[in-house]
Amino acid sequence: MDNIKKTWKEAKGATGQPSGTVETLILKARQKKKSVLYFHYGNIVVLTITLVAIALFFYKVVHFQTNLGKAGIVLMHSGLIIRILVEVYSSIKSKKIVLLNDAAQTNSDALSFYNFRRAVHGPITIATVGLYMAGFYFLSPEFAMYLNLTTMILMHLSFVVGAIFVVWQVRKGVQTEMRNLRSLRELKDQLEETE
Amino acid sequence: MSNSTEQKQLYESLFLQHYPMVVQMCTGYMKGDRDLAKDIAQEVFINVWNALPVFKGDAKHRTWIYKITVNSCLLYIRNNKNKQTASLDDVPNYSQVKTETTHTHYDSLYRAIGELPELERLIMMLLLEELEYEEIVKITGLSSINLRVKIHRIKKKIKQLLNQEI
Repeated sequence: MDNIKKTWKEAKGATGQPSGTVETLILKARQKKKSVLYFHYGNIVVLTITLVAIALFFYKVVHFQTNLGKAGIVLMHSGLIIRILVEVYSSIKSKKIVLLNDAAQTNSDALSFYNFRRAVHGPITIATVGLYMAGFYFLSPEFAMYLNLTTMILMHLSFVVGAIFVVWQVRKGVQTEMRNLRSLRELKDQLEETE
Repeated sequence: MSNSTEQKQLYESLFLQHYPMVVQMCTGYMKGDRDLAKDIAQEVFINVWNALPVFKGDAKHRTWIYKITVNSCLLYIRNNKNKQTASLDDVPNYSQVKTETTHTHYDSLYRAIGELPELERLIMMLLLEELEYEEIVKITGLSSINLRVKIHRIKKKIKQLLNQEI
């Protein structure tokens, strides 16, 4: 062991000079802080803007008369509100992953975050997308009273294309997060393993 | 003197003091790939700067930086497991590429450490850094008994691995 320690010390001595200056590092650190902030709040801001835009559209531009149409509006809004709340909670959970904690604690917090994300990608996403889609189709009959067939077909097609794009994006994110989850579980096993 | 100036001075001294240790830990973790190690070391010091305002002084700066290094390494592996990472085995002309030819002398050590699982690799390097068991417990979050069991096993493994290298 003493020989290994000696070799280790020698190798450390041959590390070489830092490639960047302290100023560059501080600049990069500030940029990273900003990008983390955008990552945390970006989704929430986009979803909130969508919610406000849809609400304004329904209350100021198009007034739905039928009960089915009104139910559609409620469903679409509910789906978005649930999604926003989930993102807020997710952001709070991700902030708990702190590199200043010990490795076991950091791993446990990260595991808890990714377990929550797994639940989000499963039942919660299905529920929110389901509510949103149901809401959209509840609005269709009343839209059909004022729009011609071609516009209706285009509207539905664009909705389907949009849905496929969203599902594809979510799938990509899910695959990455599930890979992270597996990796964290492996590390947890290593941390808990005694024999 | 303003707070930000004090913070910058402290950061600069931490950087100069601990840079070799951080790069060395990252090199061991990345199986001898110095370029990758320097990238992670940069990430470590970016994390150090962002964490500096919340440093409460309840631990030594050294322990604190080890914690960030260990977590950054684990995080790096987690985020890049799907990407190709170069190790000594993957780089055919490693000794020719490196200008510092003495590095080849340490290759067998890096290769042996690299054979250990992630956590054992980190514990091994903390041992090589001559940290007290108590400090390693604080960094890893393992119980004292669990750590002793692991260290015993790691020492046996590394001996075998180094014998194979020879």
